[in-house]
Amino acid sequence: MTNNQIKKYLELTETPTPPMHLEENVMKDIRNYRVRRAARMQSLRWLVILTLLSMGLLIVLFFYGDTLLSAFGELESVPDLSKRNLTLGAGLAFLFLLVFVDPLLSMYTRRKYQQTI
Amino acid sequence: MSNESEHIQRILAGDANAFRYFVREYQQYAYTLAFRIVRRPEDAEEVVQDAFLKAFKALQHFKQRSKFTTWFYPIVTRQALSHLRKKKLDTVDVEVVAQQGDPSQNSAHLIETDDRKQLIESVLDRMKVKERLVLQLHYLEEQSIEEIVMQTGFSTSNVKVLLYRGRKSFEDLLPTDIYQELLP
Repeated sequence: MTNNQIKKYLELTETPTPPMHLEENVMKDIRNYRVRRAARMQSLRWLVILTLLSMGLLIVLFFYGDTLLSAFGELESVPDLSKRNLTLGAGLAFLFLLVFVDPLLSMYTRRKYQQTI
Repeated sequence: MSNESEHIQRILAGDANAFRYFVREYQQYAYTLAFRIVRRPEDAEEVVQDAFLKAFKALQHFKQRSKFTTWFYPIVTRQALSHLRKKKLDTVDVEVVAQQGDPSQNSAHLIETDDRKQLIESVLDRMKVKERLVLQLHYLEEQSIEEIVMQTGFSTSNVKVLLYRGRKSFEDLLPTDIYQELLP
């Protein structure tokens, strides 16, 4: 079979044409990607800030828990309130922030970026 | 600064809308390339969209030592081949064609009904993906070995082997008694 024959056979097949909406779909994909990325970055920032704040609080409680407790004398009347319990409470609060507050912040930032990008 | 470089600089500076230039310029051939591999319009569309998105994400790594197309078309080829692997379309196609029957058995009927296109399509469907792609790029798009290497990312020797095998496979699958009848 000659090269020319192969070419003629292949020319019988159709030449595909891209759909009209392809360009818009690509641009939409890119927009969505940028929104997702921006929201992820913002969410990461929030997470870092929350983590640092919580860590700071835990450190303060760990080293100065007793001082704080004695400063608030009335709290001493509460049974079982100790440095250990305060630290535990702060830890739980941090978990709460991670589980509930961070996803809410992510949703908020995603909405915000969808409007701006 | 060339038009392409100018648009790339704008994109890297944060103007994502400048990417529209590349989509407009290269969507036609990217779609053709993807279609030659996946053989289904909806899959070709998905492949092209994914390839453009990948290119956008990786644009900062494009060194601009070559043309944008030299960098972009291999992305399309890889994306299409990966799409096929994921969906195992290749296997499905062969099965579908096998159900349709051997083209040599119903070729007379096809020629009678003047459905030459269907015959060639069914022959192409039965070929291996890479062999079919290289054959079409070389004979239909009239591209040289070097151009095919640049577009697909395959090595030169691989392209030569694929072209040889593709040609042989095409000849074997096309019923010999219709060589002349098919030609106008």
